[in-house]
Amino acid sequence: MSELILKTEQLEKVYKIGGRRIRALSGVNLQVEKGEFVSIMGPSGSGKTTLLNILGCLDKPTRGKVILDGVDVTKLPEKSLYEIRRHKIGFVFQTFNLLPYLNAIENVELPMEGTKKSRDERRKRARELLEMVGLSGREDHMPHQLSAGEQQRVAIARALANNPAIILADEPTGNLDTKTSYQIVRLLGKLNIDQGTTIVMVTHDSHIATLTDRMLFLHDGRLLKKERKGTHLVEKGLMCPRCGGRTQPDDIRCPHCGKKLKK
Amino acid sequence: MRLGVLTRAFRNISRRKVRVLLVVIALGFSIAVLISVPAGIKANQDITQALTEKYQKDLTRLMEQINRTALQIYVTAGMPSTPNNQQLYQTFQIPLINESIVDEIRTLDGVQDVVPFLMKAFGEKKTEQTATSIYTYMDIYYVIRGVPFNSTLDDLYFLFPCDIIEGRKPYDGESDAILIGLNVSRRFNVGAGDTLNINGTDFRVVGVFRSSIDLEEKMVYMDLREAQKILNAEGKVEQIMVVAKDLPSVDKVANELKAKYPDLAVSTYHEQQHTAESMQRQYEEMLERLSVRLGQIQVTANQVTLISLIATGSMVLFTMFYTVRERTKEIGIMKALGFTNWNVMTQFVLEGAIISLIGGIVGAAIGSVGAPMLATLVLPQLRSNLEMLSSHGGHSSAPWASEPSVVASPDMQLILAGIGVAVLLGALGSLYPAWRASRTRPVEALRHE
Repeated sequence: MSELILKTEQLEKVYKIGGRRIRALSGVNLQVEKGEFVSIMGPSGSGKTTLLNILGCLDKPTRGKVILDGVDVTKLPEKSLYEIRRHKIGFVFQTFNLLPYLNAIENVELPMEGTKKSRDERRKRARELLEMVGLSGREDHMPHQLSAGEQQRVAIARALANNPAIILADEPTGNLDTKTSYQIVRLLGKLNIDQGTTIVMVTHDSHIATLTDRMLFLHDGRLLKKERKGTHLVEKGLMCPRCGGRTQPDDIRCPHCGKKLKK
Repeated sequence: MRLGVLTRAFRNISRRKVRVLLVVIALGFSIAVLISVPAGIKANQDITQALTEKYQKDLTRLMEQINRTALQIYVTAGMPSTPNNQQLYQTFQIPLINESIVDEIRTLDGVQDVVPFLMKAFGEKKTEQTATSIYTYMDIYYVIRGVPFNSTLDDLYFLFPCDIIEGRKPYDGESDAILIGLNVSRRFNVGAGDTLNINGTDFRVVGVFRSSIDLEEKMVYMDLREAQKILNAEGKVEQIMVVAKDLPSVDKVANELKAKYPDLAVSTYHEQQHTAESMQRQYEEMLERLSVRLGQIQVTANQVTLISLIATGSMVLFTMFYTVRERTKEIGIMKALGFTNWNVMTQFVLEGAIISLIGGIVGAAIGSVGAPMLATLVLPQLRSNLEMLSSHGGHSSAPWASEPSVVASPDMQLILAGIGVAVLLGALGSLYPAWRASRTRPVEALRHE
């Protein structure tokens, strides 16, 4: 049994806009295991971003609990939330959100500022991360000198800077063309498999969502009961597409149901 | 951490060059004013102070002289009181008295000594035009002062000036000798041992003296007889000094003189005291006027400075507000990455302070170079004040004419204070916007486009 890294209990978010109460989330119970790559799908206005903001401690729920890495973050004072955001969470945004006046490596170093790491260590780590996302040699480029896909890679490297417990990606492919979108999702998938990084990704693109482990559906602020397995592990030969059982990349047949695996 | 904040601050500043430039210019001008105005005021205070001291010194000297010469009664032709130097020398025609009465006075009861003098100024009338007015004045080359060359009398009554800087006083009866003032020495380029032609006669310069009074330095002391000769005034004198035996005799002798010579003007230390008093009144009035003006200038200066500081402060505030608004999203990003309110605030205040520091340095540079110009530009009264000082009297016999011209020059302390004020202004101006920025909720900040 894998350990839970993220769990919500009866999460509810109500906005008041002009005297009207708008229920953005209601009764959301979400569980994410360590090392999972989960996608949350839903049409616009379904509360995806609200959910992600609450999970990322950028916003507070009206009711309910968010337990991140064993800590109920809804009970924490604002001051501690900075620490949580800095060390436990890595954000990837739709619009990349790089600081335009810092170059690639400086953007990656930014979250490490104020940590115990020395200047040299920060630089070294940032360099490694940029290499990991396939941007070695582009360290000194400013955001405007990078393509959209490259900017999102820098943003992913930045999200990984403090070795967070979880990466929260809000429509990370929303501003990218199809080809680049796949590249970015594959990069996230690679990080998930190679580094064991837990990723929760919000998207409205079902093709992108299928590339994850598990797809959840959010509709009108409610998490639907139905879940779907993604093809993320199947492609890597780590899961049987028929029964969902774990396989090894070397297996020719599924050890659980005996289905012949594609090679 | 610090280094990162600084780097970001500088990057941001260099990203918004035009805006920063505008703030720097506004701040620079404001600080330049801030520096120049007190410098200008200080220059005015200095000159007022210098004038006050000079007046006081003149008055003290006059009073000392009056006390020292209390026993002396002056007899001149026709003028009601002791002619003051200015009137005397600006009038070329001075009425003379027959020397014969010198011996008559000597016989009067209560008279100790009688010393005759002769005096005449040489020069020409000149007209000078300035921006505001036309002055006509006497350019005096020198003033002949005929005195008896008598060391006994000199010892008693100081016939010669005492501050001799070259050579010596003339000996008794040394008829071809003259003692000249520094001004004459310079004008004619002669010193002790040289010859100087006075009104057609050659004289030997035996000494040069210095005096704090300009006119005094134009004096040429020569033997009374020689003076009478070259001035075609044999048997005539211009002034007679009658020395009474003691203080009670002064009034008695004076009254007797007045009765005996109704045509002549007789003046005792009483009259001289009046002169001194009126002089003092004149000086005091003048200083009073100066200080009133100075007060007015100071009020205006404070207003100007305050207004410019408020204007600049508002501009910094406005600019920082604008900048913060523009960068709301960035604040959201920073917060999402785990930066604290304090981190965000530091960033913005630091940027404000850096811009202001640049503004302050620019202002200090402008201020220290352009202070004299700026001070008079911002405070036009300053200039008129200086004009009043220099035009009053209009010519070199005015006691303040020899004062150095007023130049507003800010000192280091003032410059540093100016820079300090700039930084403070920038920091304060950005404090509120930065505080607002730091309290923006991250979700809202991130949603901002």
